[in-house]
Amino acid sequence: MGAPPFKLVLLGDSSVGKTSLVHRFTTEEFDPYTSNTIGAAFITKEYHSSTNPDKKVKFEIWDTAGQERYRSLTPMYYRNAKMALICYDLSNIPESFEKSKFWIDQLRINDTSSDSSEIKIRVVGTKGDLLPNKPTPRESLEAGTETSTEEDATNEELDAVNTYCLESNIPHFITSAKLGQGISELFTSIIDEIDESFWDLYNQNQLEQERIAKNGQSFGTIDFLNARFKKTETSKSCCS
Amino acid sequence: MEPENRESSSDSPSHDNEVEISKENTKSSPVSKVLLPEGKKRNPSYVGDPTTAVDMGNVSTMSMASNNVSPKMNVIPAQKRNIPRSIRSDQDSDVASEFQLSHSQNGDDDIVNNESSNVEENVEENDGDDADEDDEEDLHNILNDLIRHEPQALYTTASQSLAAQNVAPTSSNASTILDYNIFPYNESDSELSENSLISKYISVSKNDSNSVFHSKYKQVFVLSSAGKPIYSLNGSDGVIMGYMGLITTIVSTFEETKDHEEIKSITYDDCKIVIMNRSPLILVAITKIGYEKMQLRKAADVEADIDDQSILSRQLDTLYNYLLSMISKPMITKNFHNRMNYDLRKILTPLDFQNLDSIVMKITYGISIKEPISTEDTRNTAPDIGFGVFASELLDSALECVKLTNTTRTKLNSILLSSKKVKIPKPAEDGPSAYQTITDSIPFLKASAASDINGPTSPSATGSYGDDLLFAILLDANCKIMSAMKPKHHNLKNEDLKILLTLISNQQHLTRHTKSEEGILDLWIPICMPHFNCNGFLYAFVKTIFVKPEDLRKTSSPGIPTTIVLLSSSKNSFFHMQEVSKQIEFRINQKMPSFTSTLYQELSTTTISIFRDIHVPQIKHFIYKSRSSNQFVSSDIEEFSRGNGTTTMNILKLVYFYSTLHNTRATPIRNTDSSSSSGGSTGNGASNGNLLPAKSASESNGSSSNSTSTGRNKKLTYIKNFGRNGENIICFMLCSDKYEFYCLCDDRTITTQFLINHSLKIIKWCEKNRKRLFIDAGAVF
Ligand SMILES: Nc1nc2c(ncn2[C@@H]2O[C@H](COP(=O)(O)OP(=O)(O)O)[C@@H](O)[C@H]2O)c(=O)[nH]1
Ligand SMILES: [Mg+2]
Repeated sequence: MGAPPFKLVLLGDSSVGKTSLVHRFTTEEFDPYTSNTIGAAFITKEYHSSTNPDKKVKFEIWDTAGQERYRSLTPMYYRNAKMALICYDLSNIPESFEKSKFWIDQLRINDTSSDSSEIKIRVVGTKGDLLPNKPTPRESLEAGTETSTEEDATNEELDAVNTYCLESNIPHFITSAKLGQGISELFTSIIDEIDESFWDLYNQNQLEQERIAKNGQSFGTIDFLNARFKKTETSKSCCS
Repeated sequence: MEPENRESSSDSPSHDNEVEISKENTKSSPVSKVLLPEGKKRNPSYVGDPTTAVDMGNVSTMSMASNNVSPKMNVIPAQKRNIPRSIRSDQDSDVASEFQLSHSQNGDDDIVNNESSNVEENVEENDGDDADEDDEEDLHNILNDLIRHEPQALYTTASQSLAAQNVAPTSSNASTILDYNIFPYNESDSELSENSLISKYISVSKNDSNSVFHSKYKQVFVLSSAGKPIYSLNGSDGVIMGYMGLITTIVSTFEETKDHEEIKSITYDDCKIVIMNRSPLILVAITKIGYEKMQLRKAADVEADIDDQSILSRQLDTLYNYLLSMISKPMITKNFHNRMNYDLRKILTPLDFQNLDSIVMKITYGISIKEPISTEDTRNTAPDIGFGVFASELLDSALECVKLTNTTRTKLNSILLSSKKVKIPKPAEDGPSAYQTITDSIPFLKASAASDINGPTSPSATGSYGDDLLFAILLDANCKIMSAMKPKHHNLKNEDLKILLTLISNQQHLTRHTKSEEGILDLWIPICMPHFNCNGFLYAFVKTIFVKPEDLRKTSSPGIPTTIVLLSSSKNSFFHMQEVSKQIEFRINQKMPSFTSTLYQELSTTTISIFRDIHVPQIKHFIYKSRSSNQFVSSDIEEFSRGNGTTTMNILKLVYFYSTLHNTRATPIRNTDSSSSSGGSTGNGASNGNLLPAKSASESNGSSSNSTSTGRNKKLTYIKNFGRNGENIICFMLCSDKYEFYCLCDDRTITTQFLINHSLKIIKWCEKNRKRLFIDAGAVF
């Protein structure tokens, strides 16, 4: 049986390394010559949790360009997205993280629905290999226990990011597309957080499909769900 | 290169058609004007009216000039020639640069034109009903007359120009990029290897060094009217900053003159400079390359070569068009509104600068070469070949299409049409839509809003996926067009399409990086098509698929990449376009296995081989342009360069030969039917070797005698280039109202008789295969 789709959007300043991150995730390669993204790219990739192969999703990823001139398009990308990865550049923390905060605010402003349906956010530091000290295991970062004393300035900046993420209750990851570090951890953690019911419903739906295909008829769950869908749609139409 | 060389002849370069009304005041004290302190003469008036008559001025000036100025004017008055190294008004500067070009650099191509007046008298009658053999006979006679009359006039001799530069011809047989004096160079350069020459003079370099910057043949700047640098082909900000003030000063100086005349071109030392004012932007191109200092000609124009553009200004048009495509005119205007100091770089991206570099390099050299970032950086040094981009620029934005059988092309067209029309299934029967509702019903997974635009549950579910689809294009691996679809009442101009294709070809490594279903990448690119709608954006869906017939599926062969481009009018239609692309892919790759294999086979050999396809191997390379469709094909570059130097060097040569050939004024082949009415001997046009005044020629011919396969209003050009290694390349052009044919061959292996014979053979072959070579209307809905 196929994997249920899971929409995800990458946001962040231009050149922080979003495309490289996705490229590493989908192809396990690092291409130092990737050119900038124009507009946006849509990539799909099936992936399963490294801890539980049954938890498998088809990631549908929007890699956006991040430039100001494409701003008007971004709502389309995060509409329907379950998750936003807000990327900033570890070799230029102050500037790129400032942009990240903008995106976080942007998502919260635009996400007017009830709290429970909020788009999930991850803050992702990229180019970890350029940090003066090697990428720290994410656990320590998440726990805000970054203790290294070398390169004080960078650490102070990182501390500020950590503090911000802790206060906003947003998980924070450090990755390097170049070295391939932290990326499978990131995506595994995304899958691990998805409730089992996600797959149950999907499978149930697939069975329903098969049954419809056999009977050439539709009733039961589908009708119910469609009716429900229409309700959702009208109630949310103001957001488009 | 030095001005003195120009004095050697009173032969006139053919600059008459670009003569503009000169301005006395600038002529009298040109230098002092330029040296005015920056800002002192700044014209502040454009703020309120950014698109004033500045642009328009030229047009009217031009037409006045071409009406009033006799072609005889092209004999340059001596006193004008004595004004070197100064900024002159357009008339003077064009004179100077043309002059310089034809006498010191690539010799005497322009003299061909002067020849033509003599030749004309001898021109055989060419009745429209002549059989092809007579055609050939005639052409051969004309060509021989032309050559016999004054042979050296047709040659760009290496020895002459070498003597002028005090450089001894090398005895070495190795072909170098300095052959044929394509580029200016110093004596000391003979020691340099090809790679060093290229990196010294040609490669793009954003280096901080002044000397690196100054040695480049080509410079291009884009700056704001206030003098803020936006783009530069070479040099860092530090290097170029000083020139920005100078340029704005020059521009505003000219703006202040009573006619608000726009400065068009300046010749300074060995440079030709063209400035284009598109307030709030200024675009500048500077070249030291001889073939770029020529005036642009539309060789086959029945309108007797009337055109007002220099090669450089057309290049700037292309760059400006790129900027408009990316950020649109309204956005530029908006951003500069009330803040002339705005920095446009804020809304441009590094990719835009890469694209601008690549466009400039390809339209200048046919190849894009960057300075390597580091020594182990081999990939960036691999030249990015763009001969097609160059040829398209040269041939008035003609498009290059893929050779395909008519059946296959028709089939592809119908695939585009039927994919557009695929209906959106009703939600209740549609699996994914029901699934959508499930995920939306799970609180954690639910997104901010249910899908209203994306995917199959759209409210417009009664329509088709392709409802917003305006244009669809299928491209082959080299970004040439295989098939296209358009609405009945709309067209995409080639100028717009060119930008889109450049954009896509520069992104191809992205879309092609994966060869499995997994990790497939679709692009969604907002792009303004300035000639289609300059105020709004279209959205381009771009996806590369791999044509792979069934028997190849099990192998590891990736198949042949084919790119689907769907232009939509709605920014929210991505998922619908994706659905259309899936339909196209299904129809190409799955629905009919026999079609898939046919397509695969045809795509495996899309190059046109003179050797294999036409069997006239003495012709080394050709370009054939169909004038009615404004499309061209060219033969395999490999066949031209085989066993003779690097691809880079050969492309540089091709660019040089074709530029010279195209921009040399052609010799008309007169048609007796019209000779009486046009009175060639009475008008200045004829004595100047111009084509007969076009109107009278075509009127008198009417539509009655239109049966020669090769068309009417023929012209030809013949240029012989002596290379240092004994290889003499003949450039030959033959055009009519139907086609333009350009070819190159080696003097040692072909006679004039065969040149004509083979050329006609190729022309006939192209004509016969036109359905394979060109796209007519494409699919229309
Ligand atoms: N050292 C290093 N460089 C990276 C890494 N990821 C991206 N880059 C470089 O950063 C630049 C911008 O990357 P890109 O993925 O295009 O950024 P985007 O604009 O956010 O998509 C490129 O030159 C990449 O090679 C990384 O993990 N390490
Ligand atoms: Mg990117």
